[in-house]
Amino acid sequence: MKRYITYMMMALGLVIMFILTGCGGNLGNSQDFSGTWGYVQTPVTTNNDELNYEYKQDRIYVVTFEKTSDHTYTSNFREYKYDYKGSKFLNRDEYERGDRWITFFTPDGPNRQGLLPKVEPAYEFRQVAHDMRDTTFTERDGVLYVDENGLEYNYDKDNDTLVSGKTVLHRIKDGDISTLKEEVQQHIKDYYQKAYVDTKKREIPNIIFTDRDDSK
Amino acid sequence: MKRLVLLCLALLALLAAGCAQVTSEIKVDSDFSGEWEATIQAPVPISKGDLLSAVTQKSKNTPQIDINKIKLEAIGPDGKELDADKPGVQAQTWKLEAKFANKDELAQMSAAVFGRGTDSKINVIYPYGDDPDVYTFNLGTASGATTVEVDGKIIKESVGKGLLKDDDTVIYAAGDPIKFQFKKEGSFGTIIGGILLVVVLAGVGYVIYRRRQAA
Repeated sequence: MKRYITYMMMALGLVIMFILTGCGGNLGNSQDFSGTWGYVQTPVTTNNDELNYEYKQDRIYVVTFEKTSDHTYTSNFREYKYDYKGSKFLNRDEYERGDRWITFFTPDGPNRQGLLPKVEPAYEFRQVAHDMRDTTFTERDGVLYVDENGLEYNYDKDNDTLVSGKTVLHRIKDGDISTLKEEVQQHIKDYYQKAYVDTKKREIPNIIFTDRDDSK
Repeated sequence: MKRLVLLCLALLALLAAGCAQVTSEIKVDSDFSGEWEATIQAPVPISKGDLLSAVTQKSKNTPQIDINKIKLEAIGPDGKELDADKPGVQAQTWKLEAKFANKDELAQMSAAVFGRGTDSKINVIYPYGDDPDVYTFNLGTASGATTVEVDGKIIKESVGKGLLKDDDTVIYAAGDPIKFQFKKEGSFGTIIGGILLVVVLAGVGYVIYRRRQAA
């Protein structure tokens, strides 16, 4: 009986080995990507490899994966952006009291008294409304493949992110995309710092960020 | 690999100029290695130097290309091969040949030829659905008549505008999207695994049989 059990154990061991090596067509354990993910698409580089920092180009993409079978997903994409809503010329009166002509537009640079225009830009967050088709994915060994075009997203276990080239999708909990919004806001702030403050064209004491009602 | 990149860029240069007809034949083995042969029909005779110079201009951001590794044949009007390295020799028809070692090299080829090059990786052959042996073959839009042969069975319903031939070959006309699904032939590992399983089960059965006989 003891020998019989030994043979059985050996046989079982071989079968398990066979299955674990994947020879039997088993796809192994798969990572569950269900849920909401998001990323910020930043501006592209120019031909000179300089950052074409058109701050209006920033987009936030929110992707919701729904598992349809063991290794397939369907996804829904939503796109958001910050719209520029204009700027307030905070110290217009004071600026025009200098020896400059009356300004019709917000000027760049100091008046003759050396006073810089003080400007407060405003941005509104909204969902970009256009048709984004549902996309299907196939998963293998922690890699997600877009069925339509073969684009590949690799799972980064350490950071719990999905990575495809420069695109990094972060898992979003409870639909809270505030960290992505803060990232875009920081890009806008950086732009104003670089384009106006560092060049001493304007003072930018504040930038107003609001949400449109339908942006939720 | 460099040969492959040059081949792709050469085609890209001509395709970008919108002046060449390119006929391709791609053969994919079960391990996703394979061969790609292309015939380029240029509207005017072109020298190897011109072809390579076009390639060099297009390849500023790619690794240095070793032109000695290219299999590039110039074909004369009589269909005979010309010595393309001879000064002054020009040809309207060029034959290019490349081998890819795996699906990653094929993806690089696709990125160069069909302008799918992004910072992200776009595969040509990639898994599809829950069946571990089913894959998608997706090469983008055909720049000319393109024949693809795989080591497996092409799923008829997936070939789109392609013309299916012998279950393992599909032909696309210029402008058609080259995309289909196929079921790969069983791999060597699967076959060995299957044999092992049968042997193990037979062994177990034999032991049980002998034990029962002894009892």
